[in-house]
Amino acid sequence: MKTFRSSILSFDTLNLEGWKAAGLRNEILIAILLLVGAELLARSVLAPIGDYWRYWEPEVAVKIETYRAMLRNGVPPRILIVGDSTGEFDIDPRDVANNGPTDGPDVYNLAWVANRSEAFRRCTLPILAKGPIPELVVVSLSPDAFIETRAGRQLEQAITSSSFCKNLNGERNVADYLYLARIRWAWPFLESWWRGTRIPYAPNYDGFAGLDQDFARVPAKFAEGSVVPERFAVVADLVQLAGSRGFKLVFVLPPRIDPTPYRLNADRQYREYLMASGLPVLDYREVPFLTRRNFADQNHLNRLGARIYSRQLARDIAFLNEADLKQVNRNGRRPDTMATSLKND
Amino acid sequence: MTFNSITFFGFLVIILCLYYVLTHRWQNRMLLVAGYVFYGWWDPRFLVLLALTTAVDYTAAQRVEDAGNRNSARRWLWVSIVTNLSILGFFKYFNFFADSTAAMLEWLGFRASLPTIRILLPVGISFYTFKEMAYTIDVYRGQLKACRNFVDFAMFVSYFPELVAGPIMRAPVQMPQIVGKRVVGWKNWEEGVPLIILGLFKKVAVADTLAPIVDWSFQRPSVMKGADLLMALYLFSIQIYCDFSGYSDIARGVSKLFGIDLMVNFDHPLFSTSVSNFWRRWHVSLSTWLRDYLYFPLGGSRFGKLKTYRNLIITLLISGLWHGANWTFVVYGALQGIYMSVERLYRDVKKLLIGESAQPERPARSVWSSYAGTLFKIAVTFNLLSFTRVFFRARSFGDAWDVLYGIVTWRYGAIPWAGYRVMFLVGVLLIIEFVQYYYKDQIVILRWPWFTRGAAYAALALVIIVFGSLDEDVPFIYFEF
Repeated sequence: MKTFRSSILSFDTLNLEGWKAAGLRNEILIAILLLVGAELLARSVLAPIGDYWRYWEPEVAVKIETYRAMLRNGVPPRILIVGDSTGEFDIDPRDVANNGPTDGPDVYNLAWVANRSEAFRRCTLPILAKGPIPELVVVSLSPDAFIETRAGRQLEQAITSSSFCKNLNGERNVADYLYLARIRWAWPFLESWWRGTRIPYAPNYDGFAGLDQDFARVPAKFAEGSVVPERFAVVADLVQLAGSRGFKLVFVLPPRIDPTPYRLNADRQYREYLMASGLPVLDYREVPFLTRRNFADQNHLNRLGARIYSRQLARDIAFLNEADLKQVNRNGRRPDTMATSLKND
Repeated sequence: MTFNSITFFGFLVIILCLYYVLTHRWQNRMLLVAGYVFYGWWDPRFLVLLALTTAVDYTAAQRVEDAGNRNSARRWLWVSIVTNLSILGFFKYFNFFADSTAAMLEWLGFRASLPTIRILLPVGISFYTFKEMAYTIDVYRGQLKACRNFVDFAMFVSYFPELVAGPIMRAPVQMPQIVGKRVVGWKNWEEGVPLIILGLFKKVAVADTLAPIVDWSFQRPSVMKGADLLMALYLFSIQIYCDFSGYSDIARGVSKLFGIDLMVNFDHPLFSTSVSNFWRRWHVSLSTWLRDYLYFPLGGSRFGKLKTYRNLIITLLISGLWHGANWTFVVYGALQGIYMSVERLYRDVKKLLIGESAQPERPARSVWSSYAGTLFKIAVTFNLLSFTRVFFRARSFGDAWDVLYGIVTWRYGAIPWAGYRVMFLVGVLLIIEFVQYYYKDQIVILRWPWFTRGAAYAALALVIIVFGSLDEDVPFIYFEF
């Protein structure tokens, strides 16, 4: 049906005659109705989960939500531990609190597994950028965090593709709009809820996740990679953030055992970077008070090791506070306060 | 801009709206611009190559047709072939050949240090260069008239639904659809939309869900359990099928909305009963391309048994190399060639021994034509092909060896298990595939009553939304080729 002549416009191409007779309209209607019904059902089922579906892991969801609740209440912990699995598994906030400069349980562990440099930049930094601030932030990152490998990228992507992380960076997910798309993320919470576990629940041990196992050698996951200097930029970003927000920073080089040549190299580069930047560094890579029986694997301590290490860390932090963090910064000195008396107590 | 992105669907809506209100001439111009925008979205620098090959082939085909004698026509044909192969060779194979030559010289005792260049592989380069070469060869063979309208030809080359991952359409089939006027009826929508939904299900729900499991095992094969490696290998066979055929389904569906039909590129290869049967079902546009422009010119099966086996192996070696510039792909192709040759040899020997040529159809009640027999053949073929895919997926021979060693020695024991989500999705896929295979119709859904169709669309959409990796922008595997 041509109503006017034009060399550019024409309405001859699309011809939908007879589409109603073909049942196409009913077909589309029933599909839409079913989808809308499913969405409404999903909304009612997911109601008890709240915002927890936004996270990549229930434990982390609980940990971060608890911390955010502290911020909302205006009572941040005085010492905050951030970083990757070396922070989550190795540093027990209760031992730090009971042996350090703070009175009472004023230490919180906000480190989590696979929080490598990119995940740290996109997730941990925005958390630190808002709300009340802790006095001191202890950063425990393995040198693995600065290595670029596909496996490492995958681990990071699990975190950075979460709705929580995307939202922090101003991005949106389909699941932000559609409850149906949340089901997969919310499934672990639904299971907990189904079993009767209350949601939200409080994190165990102020965010600490202890490893119970004895030493077991695990294959190095990132042994093929090498440290990518660009990934150190996250440290500079953190330092800048600390400067602008006014909290103190301490970096720890976490304990490890049986390092491979590759690992030694990564360790050295990370330490050199920190020292060159004039940052306060506590180096626990090889300390006499930790033996093989204190390790769960080459890079993580077990509960006993974490206890010993956390106590020592608390004492060293106390020393750092007394000695003025900035002074230690400039000199690049490392406090020599590591006690050996705690060995395997 | 990938088919599974929101950006693409926004782009598609705009292009469709424009398309439906333009005259035929302007539709082609607009589709040409759309193709270049779509392709330039990855990297605008790639557009230079696309434009260059288009201009060369457009000119060469006309010169071939206008040539007064065969020699002159052949010269222009070579101009086209050499241009396409040079671009393909440089961008895809330069480092591969440089590294291989250096390694060989070192092996012979010479110190060699050949230059390697950091080259960005243009997306889909193997697809459009093959398409253009086929066009010029068809003109040379007199099977096609050279296109005299540059816009039409450039649009034929850069038609965005098939530009970066096929199907590799042939000009004699596609050109008339481009040159002639097109009408899009509701039938086009009725057929196109299910194909798009099906393709999204295969890609977003199945392939992208399997991808991390497969990647995890293939990235560290030396420390993975044998059970996990075997599971990853099987899942990779399904992943690559869903990834690639999902793309083809979406391409066909989208193209139907423009009133242009693309060929069926996958005919349920998961149900192949032999390797030769597989190659008639898998990436049909490439296998028929290789058959028509490589296998037949080599002599096909016309010059005796030995040359037939040789031609098969050469063709499939090239097919392997087409997929990637790595010796692992060469081995993948060689294994496929060996399979095909052995299969043919087996058939020939059988004919010789029992004179089977006299009875091409086997008796209806023979074990091979029973369901159990067919299932057995499908299982054997699937396993044989999955074995070759170790070399397709592994990054190096060392990794391939680790995978095979881990599986054969069943390292660390355990039972393969990929989780409920994966099993559910693979189960849904197999049901869909089986129904399509049984009815020999990819859009079998159109035979059902409207309420069943509506429910089926809703169910597929639900599976995609609930289980699919909607927010993870996982690129299509075949873009690399």
